[in-house]
Amino acid sequence: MQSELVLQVVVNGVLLGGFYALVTLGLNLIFGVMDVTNFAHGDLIMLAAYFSYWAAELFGMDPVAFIPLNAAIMFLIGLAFYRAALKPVLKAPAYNQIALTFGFSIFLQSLALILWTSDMRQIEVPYASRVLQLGPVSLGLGKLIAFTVALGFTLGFLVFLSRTKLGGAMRSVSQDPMAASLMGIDVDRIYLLTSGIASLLAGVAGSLVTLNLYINPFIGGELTLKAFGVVILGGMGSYFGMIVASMVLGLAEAFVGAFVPQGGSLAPGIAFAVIVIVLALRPKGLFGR
Amino acid sequence: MDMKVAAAAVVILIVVVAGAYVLMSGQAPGAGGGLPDKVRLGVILPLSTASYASAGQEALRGMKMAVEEINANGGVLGRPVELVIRDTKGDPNTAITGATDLITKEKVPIIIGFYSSTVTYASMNAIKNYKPLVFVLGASSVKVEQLVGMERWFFHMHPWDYHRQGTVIEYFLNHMKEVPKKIFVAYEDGVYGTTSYEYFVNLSREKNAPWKVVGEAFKTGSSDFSSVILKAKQENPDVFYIVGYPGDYPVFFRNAKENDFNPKLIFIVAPEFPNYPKDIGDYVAGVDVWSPYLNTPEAKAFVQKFESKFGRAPEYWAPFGYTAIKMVVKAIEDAKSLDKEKLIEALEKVEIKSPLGTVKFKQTGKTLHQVVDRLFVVQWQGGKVAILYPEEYKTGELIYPVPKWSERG
Repeated sequence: MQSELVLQVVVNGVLLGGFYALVTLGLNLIFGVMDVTNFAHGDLIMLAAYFSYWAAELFGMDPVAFIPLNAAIMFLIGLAFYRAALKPVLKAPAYNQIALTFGFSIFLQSLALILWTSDMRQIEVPYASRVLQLGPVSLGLGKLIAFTVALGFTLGFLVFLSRTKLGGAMRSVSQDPMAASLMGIDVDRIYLLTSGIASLLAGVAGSLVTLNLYINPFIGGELTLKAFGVVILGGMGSYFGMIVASMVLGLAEAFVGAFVPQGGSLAPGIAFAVIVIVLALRPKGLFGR
Repeated sequence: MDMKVAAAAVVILIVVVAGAYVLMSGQAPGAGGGLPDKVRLGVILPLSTASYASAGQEALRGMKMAVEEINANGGVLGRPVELVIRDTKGDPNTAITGATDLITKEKVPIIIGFYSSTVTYASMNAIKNYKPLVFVLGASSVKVEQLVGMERWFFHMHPWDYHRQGTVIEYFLNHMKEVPKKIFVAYEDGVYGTTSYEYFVNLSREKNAPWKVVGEAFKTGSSDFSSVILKAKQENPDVFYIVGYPGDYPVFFRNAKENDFNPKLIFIVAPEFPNYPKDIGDYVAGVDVWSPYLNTPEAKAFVQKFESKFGRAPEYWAPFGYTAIKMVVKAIEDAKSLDKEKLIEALEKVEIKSPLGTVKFKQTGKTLHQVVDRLFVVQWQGGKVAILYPEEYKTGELIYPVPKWSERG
């Protein structure tokens, strides 16, 4: 029984970790390429979750089938966000950037509150609450889909980054914008696309959120916080570190929750305690440069 | 000439009599200043924060419905009623600032609202020196009750913990066909959850309940409770009792299904709050202070009106807000004044028929003015709510044990 429980906890932790990886990806991307910490990333996910919710509610769209459209809409929002807000502060001090993205976060929350009220909403996706029994381990189909899609997009994105010309340009800009510009790379365009792609990834994550969770205008805060934890733990800008850190966070929460007395209440705190410990030993995170 | 004197005398007489009548009916300024143009009631609720806000918004909807009705019928004492609203954001400091503002700057005669024991405790502690007239809608923790004690300025709508836990234990002990042997209580780790749990444990002991209680705290608002579910599964309880906030429950149900956790019953607090997704929320039972399925004329009329306005059934905070405004306005009408002492006396005598039933303020032995002291036990059955307890409101029988997740359609 105990080993079965451990196995179940591992599975739950990994599923959670996979989702954290996708949530973190966009944040990590903007930080890596543009050197901006986007406090509104979780709120972009919230926005996408509402799009997914309304697509289901008004047009009967399945949240998974809606992912491409949601990603496209969010991509455009990301482009607009860059042009309207990020570009002017790119060379400003970090404080100004934080004030901007933080302000944008609050703006999105207030907007959602006005448009859609604070009511909790959940789409009924019958297959999402179906459960697969694999030996002693049970898997929620909704979570499994979220994990698979998240993993697919995360790995797909990493391949894009390392194998395509555009991905290469993004890496060059992230290493040295000045040098990249001298090599003929249109840095502004790369920034624009980076913002679009980060927002697109938030669109995917938002769709997956509606598969498993209720939503309200404030779900972004917890997601941003978790994503920050992951980015810091993994080493800012490191994608491999990000995946490892997502798993560490997911597993830490699952294990503390299941095996420490009153762990359900401690788990969110313990996860951040892990971050503090890692940072004390390795100030640049697990895989920071 | 005599005629003129007589006519003048009649006119003077009419003026004096009319003046006296007006004075006695309280329409004219009394000693020390008169009524303002509008009767402004202070309202303080969480209107914009995560799991708290939907309750606050719902209470406000009820309050506004009451104000609309009152103003459509000419207001109170010939004046329209207006709500002066402050948002607590579910945060104690914001609540204290808002309440202080209502007392000192807005100078409202009464503050109605408050939600969450933690916020209410902090607020009452901060404003108690003003001895403001408050009508607290939420807050069930006895820590709040102990803080205010026998203060005459404190009025309270929501049942206290012991009312709720007393109802739960009474139901488990004397109204189930099979008394549960083991109960796993998952409780949120704030004041509300922990005191509820303590009460459940202590009252179980007091009543010599035969069950074993296992408790586990959790953090409200988390996106995953699988770990709590796995712990509960290890214990294999008959009843899995969750004391949390509305946003927590759907996550628990989903995680219970995912981890194939099949207690004989999942029991929660306020099960009629949101319409939980049917595929995971059915068969969930719980204790609630009110039900839109209640069979009284006032409840039916209120539910119908609310549904036509908002397209769904009200959650219990709506009739709470509605009834609170109606009670306060009735008291103002009876007192013919906004004076605090007169208002307290009038409130103590108020008795009206409302969607909650016939309501008035009763003493609990620990506080002076308590409205709701009786709760319901209900269960979702096929997308509808069956009322199981108290017997006089019963509309159905408990399904127990509930079907396993794998046996459901």
